[in-house]
Amino acid sequence: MDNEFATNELEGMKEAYGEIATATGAGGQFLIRINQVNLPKGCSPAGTPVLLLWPVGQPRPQVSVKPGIRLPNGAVPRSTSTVQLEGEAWMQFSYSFTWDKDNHTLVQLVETAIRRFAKSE
Amino acid sequence: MKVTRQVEIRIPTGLADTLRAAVNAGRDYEAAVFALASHAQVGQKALLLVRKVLPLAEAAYISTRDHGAKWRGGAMVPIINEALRDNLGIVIFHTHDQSGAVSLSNDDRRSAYELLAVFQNLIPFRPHGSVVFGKDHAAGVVILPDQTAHIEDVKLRWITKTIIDFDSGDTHLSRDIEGPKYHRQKLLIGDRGQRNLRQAKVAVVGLGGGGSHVVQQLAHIGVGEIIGVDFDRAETTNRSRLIGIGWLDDVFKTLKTHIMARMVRRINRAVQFTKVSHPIPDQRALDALKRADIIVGCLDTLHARADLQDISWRYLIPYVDIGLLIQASDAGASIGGNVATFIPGSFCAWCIEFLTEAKLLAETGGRPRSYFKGGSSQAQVVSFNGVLASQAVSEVLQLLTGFAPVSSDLTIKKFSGLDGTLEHWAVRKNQTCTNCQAALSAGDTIWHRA
Repeated sequence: MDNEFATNELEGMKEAYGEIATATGAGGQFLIRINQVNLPKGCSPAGTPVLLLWPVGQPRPQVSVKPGIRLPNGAVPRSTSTVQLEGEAWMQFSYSFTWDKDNHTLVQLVETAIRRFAKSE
Repeated sequence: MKVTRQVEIRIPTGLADTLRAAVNAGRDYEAAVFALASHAQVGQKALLLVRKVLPLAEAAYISTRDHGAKWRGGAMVPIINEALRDNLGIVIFHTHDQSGAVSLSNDDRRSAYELLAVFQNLIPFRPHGSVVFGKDHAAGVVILPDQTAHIEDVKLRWITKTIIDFDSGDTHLSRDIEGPKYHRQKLLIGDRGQRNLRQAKVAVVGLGGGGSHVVQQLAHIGVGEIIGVDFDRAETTNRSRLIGIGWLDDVFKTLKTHIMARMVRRINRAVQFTKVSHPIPDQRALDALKRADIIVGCLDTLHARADLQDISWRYLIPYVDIGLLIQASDAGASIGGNVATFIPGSFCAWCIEFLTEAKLLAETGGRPRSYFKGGSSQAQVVSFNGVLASQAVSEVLQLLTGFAPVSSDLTIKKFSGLDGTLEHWAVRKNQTCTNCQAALSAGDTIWHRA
């Protein structure tokens, strides 16, 4: 991830989500933590912190949410797993859609991934 | 927000040897050695986790009639640049070659306050410190991020095959208040060894056939706190091997942590058992492991082992792993197992290919992982669990008391249930291991507000 892209994207993410923090992981990966992203209506809780972990040399970051979310129907999302990332527990989930940094924003990535997550019944 | 009252500086094996050699290198002067460190917060204690040791070149020193060391300010520029590049704090070490209590001299303290202020100005989000250590004591001063006050309750821990804690004050062994309870044990480990056990926190992850044996023995030897981690409940199939299980526990599906707490209470009221009824890597379980001095893993899955390996290296906590595999067929039985003690800075589970990406992928078949469920249909026999668990407790005893001479050989122990043997198996540290390079002394993630 080049610095110019990161700077532009962080500004956009701050506008969309408010509080954003960044860090460098133990393996050099770039980390972005969004303090609160609203989940689709009916999910419990209504929002979650989100972690974007961008491994070195990968075309896109991985999106993770905090464990413990229930879907609008009260069920626990399927195809998820709680993993330890940089010493902290996060929930990973499966999603598949086209995203590349030349044509899309990180806000689009987060919003699309979260919508997919809420449909993983 | 928790107030930090104490600092513990941990140095992994390898770097501990480098540091010891470097501080003793000066013939006519007190050598100063710089270390770069990450940090982590554990309750009211801050951990400083050394990642690099950087001695000053001999030419950097200025000759002085005073006892202390003086060096050219420019000699610190490459060290500060490296700290800035790697986002790490700076700790200055020197030694007073003596037994008993040591302290920073007035000169040491004055120069430390000046230098730490400079370091904090340049790298405000990391702690910085100055430490003096002797043969068995250490003292120092540390300044934490965003704080102006200095902390002087500074402990020093070298992580080697025996954990070496330098006393931080004029401490004396307290009189024997435990009576004859540990008399026979202390003939081997001594009063100091027994004190180390009483002050230790040992986490046992996985409270099944192996882990329950480990908990039982840790209670007998008088470990101060056992942190038991398992979210599972007793079932009828556990009756054959779960130490401490009582009648009706399987009927009521009692949490294994509750069974262990009850057993520990019956064995030794002086031992605190902390129940963590959550799986790895639930945040509550991860937070509990961070408090431990040693982690003992008695797990079925490689994924959970990978998590323990990461925590061990990240926070410099020795990790003892046991694993048993019994395969029974018409052609005969094979009974094998391992006891591996991973000392942060030495070989890790990735170095010896105990963990590989291919093995992790094969374990889940590419599906989302599930914890503590692997191997649930494999054969298990309590006597074989017991052999491995007993050896694991002996490894804990060695780490905490150093009762046996330490060898420089790198080995794990291989168990053969059919032969009734536990043999050393030579292993080596992989110098290009990416896990060791990334995870060792990584500490907590330091977030910067965008």
